[in-house]
Amino acid sequence: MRTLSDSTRQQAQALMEMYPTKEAAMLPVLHLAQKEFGLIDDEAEQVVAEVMGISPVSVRETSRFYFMYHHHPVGKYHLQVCQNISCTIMGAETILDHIKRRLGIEAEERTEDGLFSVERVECIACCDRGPAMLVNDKLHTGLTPDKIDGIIKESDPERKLDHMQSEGNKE
Amino acid sequence: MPELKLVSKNFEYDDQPDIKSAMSRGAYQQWKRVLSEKIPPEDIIEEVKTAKLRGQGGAGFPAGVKWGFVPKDSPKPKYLCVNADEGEPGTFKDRALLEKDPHQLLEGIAITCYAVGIHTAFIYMRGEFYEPQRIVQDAIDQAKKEGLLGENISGSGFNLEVIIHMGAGAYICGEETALLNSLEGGKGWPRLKPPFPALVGAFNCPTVINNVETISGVPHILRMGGEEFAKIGTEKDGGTKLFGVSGHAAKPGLYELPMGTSLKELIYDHAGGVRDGKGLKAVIPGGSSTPILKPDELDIPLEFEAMMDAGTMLGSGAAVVLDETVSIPQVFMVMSRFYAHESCGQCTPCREGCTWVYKTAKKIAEGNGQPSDLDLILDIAPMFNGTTVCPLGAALAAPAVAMVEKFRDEFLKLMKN
Amino acid sequence: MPEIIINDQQIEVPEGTNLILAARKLGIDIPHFCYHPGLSVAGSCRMCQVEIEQNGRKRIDLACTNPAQDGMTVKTDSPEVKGIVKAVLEFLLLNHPTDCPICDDAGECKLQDYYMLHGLYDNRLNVDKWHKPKVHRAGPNVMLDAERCVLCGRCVRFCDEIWGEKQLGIFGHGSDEVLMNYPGKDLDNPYSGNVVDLCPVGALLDRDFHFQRRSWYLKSVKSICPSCSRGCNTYIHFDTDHDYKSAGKRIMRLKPRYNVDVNRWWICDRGRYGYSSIDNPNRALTPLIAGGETGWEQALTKSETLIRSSLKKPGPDGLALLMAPNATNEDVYLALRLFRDTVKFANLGYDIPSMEKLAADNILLTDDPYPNRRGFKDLGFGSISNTSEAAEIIEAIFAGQIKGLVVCGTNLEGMLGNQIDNLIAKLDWLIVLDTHKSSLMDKASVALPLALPAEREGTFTNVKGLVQKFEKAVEPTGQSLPLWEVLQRLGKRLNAKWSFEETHTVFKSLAEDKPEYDTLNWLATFGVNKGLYLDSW
Repeated sequence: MRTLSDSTRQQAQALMEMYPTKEAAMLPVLHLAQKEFGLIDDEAEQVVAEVMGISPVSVRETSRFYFMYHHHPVGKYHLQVCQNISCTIMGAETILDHIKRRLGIEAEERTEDGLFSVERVECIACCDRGPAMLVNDKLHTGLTPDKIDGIIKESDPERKLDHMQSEGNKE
Repeated sequence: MPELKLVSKNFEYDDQPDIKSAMSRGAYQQWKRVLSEKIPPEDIIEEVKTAKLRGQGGAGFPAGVKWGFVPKDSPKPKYLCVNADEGEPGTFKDRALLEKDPHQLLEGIAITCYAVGIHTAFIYMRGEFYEPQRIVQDAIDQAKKEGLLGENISGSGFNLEVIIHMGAGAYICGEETALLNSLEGGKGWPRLKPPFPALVGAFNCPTVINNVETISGVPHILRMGGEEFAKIGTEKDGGTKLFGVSGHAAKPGLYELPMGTSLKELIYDHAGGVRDGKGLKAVIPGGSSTPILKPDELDIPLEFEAMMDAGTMLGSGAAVVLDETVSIPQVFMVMSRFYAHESCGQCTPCREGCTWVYKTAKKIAEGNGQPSDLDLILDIAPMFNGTTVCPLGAALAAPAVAMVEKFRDEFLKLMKN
Repeated sequence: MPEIIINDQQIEVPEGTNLILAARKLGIDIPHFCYHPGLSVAGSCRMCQVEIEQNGRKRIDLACTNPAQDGMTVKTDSPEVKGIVKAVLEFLLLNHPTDCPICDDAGECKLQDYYMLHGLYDNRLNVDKWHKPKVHRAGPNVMLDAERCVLCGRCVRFCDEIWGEKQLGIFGHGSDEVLMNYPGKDLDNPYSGNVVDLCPVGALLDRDFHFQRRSWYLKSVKSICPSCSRGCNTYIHFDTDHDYKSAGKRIMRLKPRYNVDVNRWWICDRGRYGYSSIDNPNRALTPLIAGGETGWEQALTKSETLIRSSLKKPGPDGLALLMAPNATNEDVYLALRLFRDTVKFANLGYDIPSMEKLAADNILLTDDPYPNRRGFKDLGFGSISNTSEAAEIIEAIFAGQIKGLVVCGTNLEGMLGNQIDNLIAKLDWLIVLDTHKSSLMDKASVALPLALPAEREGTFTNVKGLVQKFEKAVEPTGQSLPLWEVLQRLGKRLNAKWSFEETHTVFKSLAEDKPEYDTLNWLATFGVNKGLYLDSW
């Protein structure tokens, strides 16, 4: 079974002491655990339960409720594309299609090399600058296919984009 | 009405998150005055009541009245929860307030806590707000260093700890009691009311919950005086509001306007109308939970009651402009997908009803709908409007009915027979 | 006390009574799923909406969250209320698999009942239903069909609030929610079976009852759980009319029966699933003489002869009765009248060092696996000392002081292990009365088969001194008889001055001798019922 690093355990302990109840540290501790493990799967839930001294059922109720906790591995670069109204009418579907073609994966999937994953997300509160997406914790706005190519290239300079079908040269 | 910048007046300065720069523009002056003049807490509450400051999160409950419900002599600690779980589709004002003027918010928090007798404030920020979190945390650290937050502030004996609590992706946590459950580490299921949070809130203690924009307005009330603040708005809604415009507007963005400015003015005079000279199909006036308006319905003052009278809502003041190219059934599908996705699952009607409407909307948008599907939506939507613990169901039901009724022909055109 | 009007009927209820409870007092059932009087109020199923008129204002609100307040006027049947209830029901039924023909809960399912009541005959679902885990083993006793679940959360709250440990959760968000135990961790608390009773639909089911019987074939009697000294009130559900999968099984399941003073709505799994000892191939079916099958006449004649032969020599001091405290008060009463008063045995023991010490908890389970220790004590059983009489009697046998022994239900083999043969060798004769076969019965001079509580009526006195009656569900197995009846027959042969025809006359006589036991109205019987859940919530 995996364990959390000492420093994460200490952070978790400090959080539990900071709040009026230790249970209140659940969301931040799950964030910490996800940062360390890359996801919150069954084992991570049990580690959190053990560290916090609470029932794994409580941990799971929380971890499965919130959409930001991943239960399957995501890529090193996790693209979270807004699919809500303002972004949609500004072309979010085109952006998503472009990403899917460029990376050769569907939404909620990860590339084989583990570098990229794509997720549809709901409104991320920058509707005046859509289409928008988060790549990990960084916000990108006013997306165009070119911008997407730039973001992918910046993340993985080795990645060849030209052999893939792009928006411009699709059949 | 022209723009009148209060909470957004320093948005133009990139160095506003720096405390020195902010203070050079007046930040924390009211907080310092409160402490140095030892203004009685109840006077501050009165001032906020006089200002007619309404909750800016969407429900519009008068802030001063809310504060007044908190028992003065509680043996338990009291808490402030600042609702920064901005998630109502179309809304992006709180992000701006957090990123562009964090000290304004912190000053508002300090004054609010002082007025209500609170020593711990939580800023419940949606999990996706990475940048706002960094900026606000930095601002908290700076303010502590300046002795404006923390222990024994400016020698007054008043202590205040401000803690950022990050959510983890759930729209429902913007509902104030769901927010409390989430703060306490649980699922974001809204609570049964009564008891109301002012009496039994976070950790079973009396709690004030207010939106970022509401709290950000507090220093301005103290600066101007409640009466002056109230004069800006309408009879019942004091002050200004940050209105957002997104979608096919020529100049999307935030516009701070006096309450009561007309929606038409917001869209045409401030946001420049529809971009690329296209025609206007419709406007969603106050976030996706508010019923859609057709172009001939825009001449309404942006205030809580007038919007209700017009069959829609002020909501979070976030207008989405839809030009003539937009497919309403597509928008309807996107909107219902959101509520189906975000329904917390606690109450039967919302959990089942929102998903049912979404699946039906999807079927219609994909061209597989039948006219009877529209009648079904009109039939079931009222059944998850007002029959649940919180208004999430209603937030789909009302706009769903409006879209289907106002754009029935467009829906029918998508159908085979 | 607030006075309110529900559907034009007036009622006064104690402060704090909610509208569901108040309406029930008037015989009005307000439909509900998540509300249960033994659990906290969730207010999430939204079924119990009613119209409340108060201070001149009308509103539609939940009956479970609203306490009755003076002057309230409540309507449960207005068109608007009916519309909402029907709508909520439609939402719940939307994705429900409606696999009632293969659902064990059919016939006792609230969803099914309300469905019929509200005439929601056609599903308007115009899109695909979702799918969730079915036939999932949630724990050793309970199985889960998540598709049938209405997410009322009663079972979750039971584990949290009554048992005190989270074992079930509703995981997910919105319509993706699934009720589940934690992966790899069983729903295995000692009260797990209660979630099956609490489940208003067929989502949580008894694994031992799966596909065993249609609920409408079951008959029911009121009983008392004999598995510990708490005396939890139960129903025995049985069926002797259908052969399907029966293989001699008559008792199909046990269910808790509400008693506010004893067990409220609950029973423990030990009691609930312990019924397999009744219809069990190991039951003692016929009397035995020296291990050979015989009839009652011969066996009783033999017993009489053995007892009479010893009355002079070794005499009363050399004779003993050992009786396990699972016998009823009626049995104890006649045993005393016979062995103490008629044939005057000097040694009567019941306080057997328990072979099985139960782990008591602060819910129901006591540490005493016997149901009637209190009754034995109250009725004056025991003569040598207050503790471990059995040990002293056994010591006296080994010392050659006791030569004749009657044993009722006492697990001597368990106590003595391989010393048992040495003990028997010390005796002139041994008469054993028991419900299940044992080598002791085979080795005894006479062995007599006894009926179990499910096969007779009687009373037990629980740990708190409450005298409680249980009723007969099925006929005694084989030739077995209730103990009191055996004692009656034997007493007649041994010139006893008393005679009883029925259990209740024994109890009547007992209660005359022991007035504090005169608390039961024996004749106010429940009898055999076809309706199953009289306390259904």
